[in-house]
Amino acid sequence: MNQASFRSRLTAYWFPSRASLVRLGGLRLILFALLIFDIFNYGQTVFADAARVSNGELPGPWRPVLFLELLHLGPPDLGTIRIVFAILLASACLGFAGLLTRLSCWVAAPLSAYWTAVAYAYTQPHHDKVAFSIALFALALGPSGARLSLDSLLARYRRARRGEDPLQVPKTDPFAMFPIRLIQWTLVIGYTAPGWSKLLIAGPQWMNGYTLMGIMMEHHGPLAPFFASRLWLCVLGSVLVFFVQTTFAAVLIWPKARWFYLPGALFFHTMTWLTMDTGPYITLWLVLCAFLPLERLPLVARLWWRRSRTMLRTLLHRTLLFLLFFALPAYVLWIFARILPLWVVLLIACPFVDSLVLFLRSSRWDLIYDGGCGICRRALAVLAASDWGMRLRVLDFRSSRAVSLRHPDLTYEEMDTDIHLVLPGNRVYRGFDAYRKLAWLIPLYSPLAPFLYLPGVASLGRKIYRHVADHRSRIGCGWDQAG
Amino acid sequence: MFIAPLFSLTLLLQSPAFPALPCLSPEGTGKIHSHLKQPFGPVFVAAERGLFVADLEARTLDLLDLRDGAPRGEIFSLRFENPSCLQVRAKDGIYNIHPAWLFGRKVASKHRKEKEPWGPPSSLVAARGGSNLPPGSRLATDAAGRVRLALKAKAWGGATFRWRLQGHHLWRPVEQVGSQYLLGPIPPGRHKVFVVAMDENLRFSSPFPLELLRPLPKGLSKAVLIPVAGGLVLMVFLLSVFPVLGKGRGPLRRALLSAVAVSVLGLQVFAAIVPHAKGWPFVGFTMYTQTYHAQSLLYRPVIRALLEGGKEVEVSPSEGGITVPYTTFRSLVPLLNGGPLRLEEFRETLGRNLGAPVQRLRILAERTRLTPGGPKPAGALLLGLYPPLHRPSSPDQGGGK
Repeated sequence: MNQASFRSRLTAYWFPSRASLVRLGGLRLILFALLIFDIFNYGQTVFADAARVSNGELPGPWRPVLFLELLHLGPPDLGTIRIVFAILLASACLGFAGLLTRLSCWVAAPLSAYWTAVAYAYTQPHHDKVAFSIALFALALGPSGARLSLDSLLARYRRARRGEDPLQVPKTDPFAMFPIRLIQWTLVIGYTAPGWSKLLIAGPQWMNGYTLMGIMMEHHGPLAPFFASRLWLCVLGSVLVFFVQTTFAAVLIWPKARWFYLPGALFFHTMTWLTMDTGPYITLWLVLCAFLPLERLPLVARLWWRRSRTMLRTLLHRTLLFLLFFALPAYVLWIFARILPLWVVLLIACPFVDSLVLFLRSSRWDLIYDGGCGICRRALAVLAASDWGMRLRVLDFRSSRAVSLRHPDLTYEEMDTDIHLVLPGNRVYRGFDAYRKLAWLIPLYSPLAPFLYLPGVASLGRKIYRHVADHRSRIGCGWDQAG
Repeated sequence: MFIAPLFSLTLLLQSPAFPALPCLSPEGTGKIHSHLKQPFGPVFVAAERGLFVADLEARTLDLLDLRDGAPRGEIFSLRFENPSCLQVRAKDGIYNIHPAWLFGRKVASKHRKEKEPWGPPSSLVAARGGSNLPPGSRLATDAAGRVRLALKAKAWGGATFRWRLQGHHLWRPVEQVGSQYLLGPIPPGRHKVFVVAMDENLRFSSPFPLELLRPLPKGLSKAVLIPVAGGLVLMVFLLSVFPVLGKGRGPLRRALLSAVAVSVLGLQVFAAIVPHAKGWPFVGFTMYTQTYHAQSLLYRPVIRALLEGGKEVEVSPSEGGITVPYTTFRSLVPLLNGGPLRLEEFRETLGRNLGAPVQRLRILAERTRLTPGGPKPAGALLLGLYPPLHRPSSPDQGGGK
């Protein structure tokens, strides 16, 4: 392989031209949800330590990590920690929502590192948040807010205002894969290095069973007595741990190997939690989502939901579907709920869970709008950007022939008068009722939907809608007679 | 053979029970000579093959790994000189052994029948280069992390010295070299240490604090490491950026990001090789690289609170106001070395959190022996008791944590 070929391969690996923006956006959502959890998870310790500093005592010897030392940052008092907490939480929420995403990433990443480093300064640094901290910085280096974000929604809105098609969105970007690759490599080092350290320092003796037995008993998780009292299980566990850790780099060479290594890592962390009381290590194993083709998961889910030729295959697919899309998220939410208030967990979970349910439906909804109207385009931009379940089929009645073919019973005049939502079974909703139905159907807006059914809201909504629709040429909505 | 229990709570158990207990040591106990129950603590057993501890709940006997200054081999008899001093008779004389930390001192025969003329050791005096050091003095160690000092204290039977790192619970011996003492080694960096004088009855003086600085190896010192790492990162950036200058924004952005990737991953790999933890988030990964074998011994720290009505419960440090996620020996340092005020504060907080007054606190090191049949409980040592049975001889009365 000559130098130019090697360089082009390297470029194609780190900066592939068709890297999915949805994948990066999905990873951003996961990592920022994790950050919100982590802020509260460490918050109790950090606030308690800071309160003691404010009272004039140190919670323990202050042994800061290198970057705190280089920045001459001493033990923070309560006032400082409150300010850091407020900015960090705000940036984490903005990052999760994808508003001012890059700025949020650049604020959240260093503050999160500071938050963790302060907690470590009184005890000792741990490994569980190495990949997570680097991942937050990595997100700042890529177009993390280009999809699945308020930034992307606003960008669509602006495009619609300029008279461009609101449905045209960027799907790929050559820089979208870079943060993902950086996170993947960090994770690989994080798993492989402990394996090779065991081999080089302890040698194969590490797998004698007694070592794992001793480690379990030292940390004494709830299942430690069961596993530790069976030497053969300890030997088997040691061999598995050793194998997974030393060969983890295989996921970089053969991506399909992730379907062995990711469940392996998840099983490993769950077992260390149960036998060594390490805690769930959720900050580490959720970062492993960097190996998942998140943009393809909806299609995979839909594929697995369908009946296959054989009963066994259908059963297998549906079991996998249950594990990957319901059991695993439920497990994550259960861990989140141990730290975060329930309403915060529900707020984080609702868009994911609703979208997952919607992905599984094979039917789609036709939304027929007036592409020549600026207000309609802008409304459509917002709705289409919020359609994470990918259920909406948006049709411009002025330019799409599919409308008359699909819905011959709708007249041109009707479509010119109102926006139409057609659900399976030819159930047609018009005007305000179409928007109200969409509020039920689109997960992001479902919290608003009940309010639209309050007495008086519907009649007021219909009046406002009628007024705007009838006067859209006069209220400066950019309406043009494109048809 | 002498067995002379000094405390009313000392309880002699029925001797025939012990041969029935299985011994976890493959060689067995040999002939059992005597046994003695420590008040609120374990039962010690003097036997042909050494000093054993009995776990009456698990019904096991296990050999104690005695530390520096303690006798080797056969033990004939036992008695408590004071709560921190188990006196044993061995082949070559009488020894005092600390029943928690298992270090000891041989009792000089001339002292055996004498009445002790004074109490615990006086505060020690540390000197270097002929001049006395004030408490808290800052000293630089040699490259191996040791510091040479002259130490003096008045103590019954002559003073020996021990030291510990701040945040560590174990009191380690100070090595005597001629008329001087060698303290350490300490790990690289700046550390607060405490030195105590110990008398023949294993009572400690009040601790003498020092601040020691062990420089990092030259290659790893900040003065070298940061410029070298910074220079390398800069070189990576320059090498990445120069070839694409003038070729547009895309290649320049790719070059910059490539430099970031090389730097971040390079630092990760470097930290993993060194290994290093202070550079977090670039850290080493040598955790859990120790090995255990059949017959390896584990210690687990436990705090037990004795409530009204005789009920005893295991509690966590956080229930008593020590904010740590797990009970580790390090988390117990404030209790083991913080003095009676700290213990009283802990007891009161614990009582409030449990909703019942705590009569007594026991801090134990539960021992577990690894065997082919799994881990076996091997008796627990009493590290701390509050309120004590009488005036404690533990160090750090109000000293540092």
